[in-house]
Amino acid sequence: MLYLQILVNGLLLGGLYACIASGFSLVWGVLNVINILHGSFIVIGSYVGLLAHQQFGINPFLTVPVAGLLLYGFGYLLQRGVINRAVGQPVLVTLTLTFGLELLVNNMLIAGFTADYKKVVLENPFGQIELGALFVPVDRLLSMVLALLLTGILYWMLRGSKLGRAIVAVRMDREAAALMGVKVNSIYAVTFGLGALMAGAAGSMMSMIYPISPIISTAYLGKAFVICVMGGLGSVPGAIVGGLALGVIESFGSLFFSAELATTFSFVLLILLLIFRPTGLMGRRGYE
Amino acid sequence: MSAPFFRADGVEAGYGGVQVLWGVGAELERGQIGCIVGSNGAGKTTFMRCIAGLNAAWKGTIEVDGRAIASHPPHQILSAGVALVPEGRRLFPGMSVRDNLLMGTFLRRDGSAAINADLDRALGMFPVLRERLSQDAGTLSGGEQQMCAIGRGLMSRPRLLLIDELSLGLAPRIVEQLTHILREINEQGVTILLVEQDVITALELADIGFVMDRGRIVKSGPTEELADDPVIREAYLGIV
Repeated sequence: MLYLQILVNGLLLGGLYACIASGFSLVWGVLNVINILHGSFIVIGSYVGLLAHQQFGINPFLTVPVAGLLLYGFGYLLQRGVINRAVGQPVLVTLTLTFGLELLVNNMLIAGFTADYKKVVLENPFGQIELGALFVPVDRLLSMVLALLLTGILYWMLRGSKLGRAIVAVRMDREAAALMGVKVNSIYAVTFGLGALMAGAAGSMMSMIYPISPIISTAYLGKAFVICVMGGLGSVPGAIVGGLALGVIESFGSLFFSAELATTFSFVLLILLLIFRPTGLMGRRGYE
Repeated sequence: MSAPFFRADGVEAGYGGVQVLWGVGAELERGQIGCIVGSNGAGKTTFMRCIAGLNAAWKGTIEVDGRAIASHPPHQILSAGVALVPEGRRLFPGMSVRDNLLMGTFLRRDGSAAINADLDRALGMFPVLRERLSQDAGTLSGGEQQMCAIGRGLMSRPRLLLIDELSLGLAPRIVEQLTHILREINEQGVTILLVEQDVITALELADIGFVMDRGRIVKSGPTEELADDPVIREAYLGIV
């Protein structure tokens, strides 16, 4: 029964991880840019949730669209104004660029909000569902469902909409997409915006679960990285599978070892995976 | 005298510091089929890329129907009615044949009824694609891929269709089929400019030929004349 509870806890967290990783993976796959800023995007989303809760007593679930749209705008402008200038360059150049931007943004966050840990504590918690000996906190369940829903919408958008087809086309062949009349730089900006949107939306929900501080951006980034490699780069189903897997792995890791070692445990698994199945659990083919 | 439908003059271009085109000029009247022949590395593909906007023209002019398009971004050139079927087909491999064809309509704003009618027309031209509609484009044979690529190009309703390497790597039977279809497309009013390494096929299909060598057009004219030119017969047809 304990194991089942641990499994459920892991899956609940994994939904949010999937949401985080799908945005990171989308940007990596389409732009070939490893976005070091992704962790800070999540943190900004968390602060949106925190501030709205502190100032107006608004539940962080309600700030999910606000955080998402705010970060979409931020991401879009950042890509349009800055990253598009370097986007065709080797990955080390863009990595250095997003690393520099991360230093800038993260230090601004520390200057603005301090590095102290904060947390949203709901005055009216949603309570929990009891299934026999199994406890499922409703707020966690809600955030998992919402996170997976957002990830599902992203997947549907990529497959079913005209904009999505353009993004997939750019991912598969930038020049051929340009020949179809796709404005590649706009698609890059939209894609980067969508990646930031997913981070912001997840961040707003994370504010109820994780401690909030600018300095945990690297922990988020590490998770997104691990999930992407586990699930296979640039695939939404891969991000979902990888996210849920990481949630479960961390959950059991903290049971068998300790909470501090849970992250280490997942990185060790990642290294093993890279050795034995370098294409990731879901392989790699197109952005599907 | 009215200006030709397609006109390029003094086009210079290259990659980084390496100049490939050294003042290329070519003209086509509306409704003609032109072909560019020449050895590997002569600059044929670079010229096609310049027309389609994938490469900037360092110097010179390119005009379609009186509209200057040199160094414009690809989407503007496509709106001007110029579509390129690129070398190597460049289909979107993980997308279905249908989605590949529909990508050709990305800029169209004339509604799904017109687009579906054109999809039907393209499939009428290439019936084999109808059976493969929901299959990934990456699983098609070489000939089917070329058909899909030409179909995708046509879906934008171009007035000038550029085809880079029509027959490369294809079986003679397929090439014959493709040239037949290109004539059909041409009869519907589409001007065609193609790059072709198979000189016999090229001279048979086209009205006007351009011989390119080391980044320059060294000879051009009606294809019957070129086919009789002793220099060309020796250099490209292997007939003395």
